[in-house]
Amino acid sequence: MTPRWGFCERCELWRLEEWGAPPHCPVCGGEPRPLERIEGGIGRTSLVLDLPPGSELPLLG
Amino acid sequence: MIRRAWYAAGFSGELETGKLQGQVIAGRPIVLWRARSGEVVALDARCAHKRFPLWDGKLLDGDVLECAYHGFAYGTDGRCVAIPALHEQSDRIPATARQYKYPLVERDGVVWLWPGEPELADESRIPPTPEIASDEWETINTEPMPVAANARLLVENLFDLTHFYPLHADNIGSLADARVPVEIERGEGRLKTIRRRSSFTLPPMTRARFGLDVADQVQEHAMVAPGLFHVVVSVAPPGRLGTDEEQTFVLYQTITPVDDGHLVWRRSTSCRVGTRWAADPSRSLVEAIVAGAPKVIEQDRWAIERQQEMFAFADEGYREVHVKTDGAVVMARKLLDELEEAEGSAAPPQVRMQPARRTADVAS
Repeated sequence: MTPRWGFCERCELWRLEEWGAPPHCPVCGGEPRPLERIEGGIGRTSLVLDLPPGSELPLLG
Repeated sequence: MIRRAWYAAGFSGELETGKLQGQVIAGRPIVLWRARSGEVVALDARCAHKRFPLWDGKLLDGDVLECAYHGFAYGTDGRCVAIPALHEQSDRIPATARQYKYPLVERDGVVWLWPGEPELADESRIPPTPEIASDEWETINTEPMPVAANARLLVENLFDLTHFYPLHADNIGSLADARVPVEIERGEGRLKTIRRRSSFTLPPMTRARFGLDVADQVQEHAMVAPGLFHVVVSVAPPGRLGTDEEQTFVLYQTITPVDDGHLVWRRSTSCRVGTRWAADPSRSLVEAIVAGAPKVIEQDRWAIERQQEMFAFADEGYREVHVKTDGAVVMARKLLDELEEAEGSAAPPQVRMQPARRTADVAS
């Protein structure tokens, strides 16, 4: 299994690990979010906004 | 410090025919000049005789570099061709009186130098910078800017788009910038961040640049080599990216390490020829972008130089906190660590990947 980058929210750490299936932190067992996905040899990680449904991104311009 | 890399010794225009230049690149003292043939020559700056800095010497007719101390003179191949103190002719010049000549390639408007082992200098690894030398792009190169910081701090700054607020809040940044989603791409020796914004309210400076209050924007930051960042920013009215209403600028940022606490930063900005500044169509867009950049650059320099100053203090239990949005920075550190480990060198411990602060560290 290829090591991938993931952010363990419980450890509050970025880790380059083999996260297993289903993915879990090898140290605390927490779920990584986000977790890198490997596509054609390229690792992709998406950092998305955690906003409640219906809320708007505050724009200060 | 990474030495197995091609680093910018300058944009082509910085190397003038017959003018000596002294630089330190990745800890190597180097004397450079453009010979009359057009070739840029880079030699070890320590005279083979008594270590005197050859950048304080002078060029004689025929591109011969004469040391200012005892007059040892060297040709463009680094070979000693004259020693004034010798009483006989050139057969008395020892074969060992020779300056190391650095691998150097001038390509696409950039002079690239390899400070690592010469047998590993693979020209195919020189990153392309086609816009800089292209007639289809209007390009403005900045003067080299010395920065009193480890090169890694600039790499991190360029990947860290969450500092636009508050560091650049009075020009290109806003609080919203810090919250834009990021896509990180990681490949062999490369790292890239992509940020897409739809119907985004532009901050004041970019509003003036592009003549738009609200826009769609795609911003890509890529480290294509340890010494080169490639930035592409495309802006268009909502829904018009990819059409002829799109405005794009390309920015190459070269990062040349001097030593563990200093670097030289260069920027080359390009827009397609004929792209005008929306706020004043008598000026080109690239001109407007470059005119607005010094304040942003100064703020970044200020920040990383202040960070560097804090490395003077022993860590003594101090650890950085890496939050979720530091993903690209953490990945860049790891990538640079691996490159250094592969060549058996190492950054000062403070700027290497350290264990971050853990919840257990603050649990009490």
